[in-house]
Amino acid sequence: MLGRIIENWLTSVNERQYQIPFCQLLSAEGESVIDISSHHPHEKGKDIVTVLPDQTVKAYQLKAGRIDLSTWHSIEGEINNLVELPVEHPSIKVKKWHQPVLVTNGDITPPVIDQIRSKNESFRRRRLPRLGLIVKGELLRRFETLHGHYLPKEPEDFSRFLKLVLQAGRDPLDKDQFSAFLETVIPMREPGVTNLNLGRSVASATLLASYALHGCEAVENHWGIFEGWIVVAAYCLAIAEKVQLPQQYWKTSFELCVLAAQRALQRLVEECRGRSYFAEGDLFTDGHFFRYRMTLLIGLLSAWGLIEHHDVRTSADIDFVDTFVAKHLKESTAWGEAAIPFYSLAALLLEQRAQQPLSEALASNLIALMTQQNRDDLNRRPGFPNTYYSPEAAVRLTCGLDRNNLENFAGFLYTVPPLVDFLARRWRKYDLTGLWYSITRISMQRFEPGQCWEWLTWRCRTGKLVSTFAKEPQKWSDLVAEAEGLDTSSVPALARRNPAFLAMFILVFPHRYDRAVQKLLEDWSFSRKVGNVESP
Amino acid sequence: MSTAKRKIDADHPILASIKGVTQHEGVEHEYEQVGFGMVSEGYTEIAVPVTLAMDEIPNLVGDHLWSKVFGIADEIAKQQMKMLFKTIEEATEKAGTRIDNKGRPITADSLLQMMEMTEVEFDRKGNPTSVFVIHPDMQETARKISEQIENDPELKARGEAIRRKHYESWLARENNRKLVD
Repeated sequence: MLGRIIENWLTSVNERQYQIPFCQLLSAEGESVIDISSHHPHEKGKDIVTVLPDQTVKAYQLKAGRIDLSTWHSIEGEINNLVELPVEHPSIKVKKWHQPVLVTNGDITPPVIDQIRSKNESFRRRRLPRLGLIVKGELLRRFETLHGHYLPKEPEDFSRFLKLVLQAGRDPLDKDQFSAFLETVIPMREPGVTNLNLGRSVASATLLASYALHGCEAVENHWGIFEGWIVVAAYCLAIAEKVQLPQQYWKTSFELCVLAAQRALQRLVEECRGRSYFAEGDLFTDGHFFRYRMTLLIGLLSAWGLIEHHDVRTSADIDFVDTFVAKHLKESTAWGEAAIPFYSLAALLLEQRAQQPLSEALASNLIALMTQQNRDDLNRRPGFPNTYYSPEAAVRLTCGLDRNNLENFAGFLYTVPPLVDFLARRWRKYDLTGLWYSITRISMQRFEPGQCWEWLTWRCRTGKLVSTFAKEPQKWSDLVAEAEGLDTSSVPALARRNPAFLAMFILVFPHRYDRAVQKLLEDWSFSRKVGNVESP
Repeated sequence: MSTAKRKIDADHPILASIKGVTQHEGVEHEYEQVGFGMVSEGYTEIAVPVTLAMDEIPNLVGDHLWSKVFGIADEIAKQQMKMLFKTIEEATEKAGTRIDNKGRPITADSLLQMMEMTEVEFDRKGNPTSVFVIHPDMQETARKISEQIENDPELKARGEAIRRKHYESWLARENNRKLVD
């Protein structure tokens, strides 16, 4: 059964779509992936560069589908580059020539095999390495072998996996099911599993996630793809944090997931650049979703923009994102508290563009909106949905389609304290003075996981909900001091060390957005990457 | 379940007026208790055994079904009320705001004493929003005592003084909801 699933997936993806799973395969087989191209013209025919334990360097060129003579002629230039141009990478010190490999998820016709044979003879005479080949059959076998025992075992778990694989991909990702599936592959709660086997399970989960996200890939649901990869990345960190797993067993998988998520965001940016309107689906009913979609886009593009700004990259896309966020902010609306992380990133991006007044007004308006909507008043029920409500769930609730849901939000809020800190750190005493009366009337909620690593999972089994009220009266200097010196150790160390991941994580796990996360993101957004070093 | 909840809220306004918080993760709740700091506690399960006879099932539609669900709702409400009063008893005992009349009939004096000990909230127009919960059997007695307070100038003055004191305390609390230097 798994063989069929892999085959179906492998034969329907393009080279870009199987690049990351193939990297995962190479890494699990012992090769260190040191470079993954983004398919730009300067890649010199090398999509992936790896180093073997004996320091042999390998360079792969990935293609999709059957390679016949006409395809061969169209890619011959790239193949020449793959073989003839040396690998240039700062981490490669050996002088030995690399081993070039052509990979395709289809097959290669006999005439092309003949051509390659001749070409290899020519390479040999010029003392160049021989071009290696990997085709569909071998790829299938290697993918299947990698999974080993790390697959959903119980029929119910396998059925969940199949449903994910068979989904059309147009809907928002079902994170509940997706996380539950990952927990059947990665033994999060099984004692005594060796590091090696945990590493294998993480690699297997990454590949299985590729198959499950294929539906989203096929219809270019970039949001779904982004969410899926961030969930997998979060589970990589969760297991690493839980058992203090050495980096060699999880880091490559984690980095591949983050790269895949960033690429999904990049494609979303490209799609937005090419669109002048953002309505979707049934236009008569899209009014219920349009403004929420704009909120999602603003947050997702802000995450991408912040990462690019931080890494000091420059491109027309960055300018586009900056303008897009400022321009479309007024078309957006929060569906509930789960939208606040999206606005938080937008506020940080606006700051980067020297639009502090707009950024701070945004935070201030959000506090005013939420404290007004969730005033402790029986007539206000159910109120503004909390961080556990997706846009779809919020629409169902507000349109009366979820009549059996009697959850009450009035009188409670989760996301006000991080926004208060944001304003306090910017000395916005005037705004907070006007808001404090309303703030004190609301019970502030926060969830503390029983075990730190559980913070990175979709739902914690242990932990407590903590309800507090703001101080009455509150001394301004104390508020500022507390906001500036906030302890961020509640966020797992591995997440703290990867703030770019954290920025994406809170868009997928909005119920993890809290004061510590806000502080970490602000500190990160003010720093700049110089080479591989963070500068404050 | 939502039908049962709606029935409970309709039949028991006191339960309906209690803010319920839905916890999506974890098994404990920690909250601030005035004067006692943070209190952490787990949840108490409320369960109602349901028996369905095989010969009952063919007719378990419409009114029959509603009556079954409402029966469950009544049983849940009974347990919730019991839990509520137990919690109030424990909290008032802990806070020292409990008045035990030791079986003696309630008087105007004990009612005023009780009113004095509670913290009263007001709406923006100055009307008290706090609620006194009494047993239905006490309704007549409460009405008589209320009339007695209304008609006795001394008791009335005492009642008004208590109300004024509560209002001033409330105002002071409301004025404290601010940022200060």
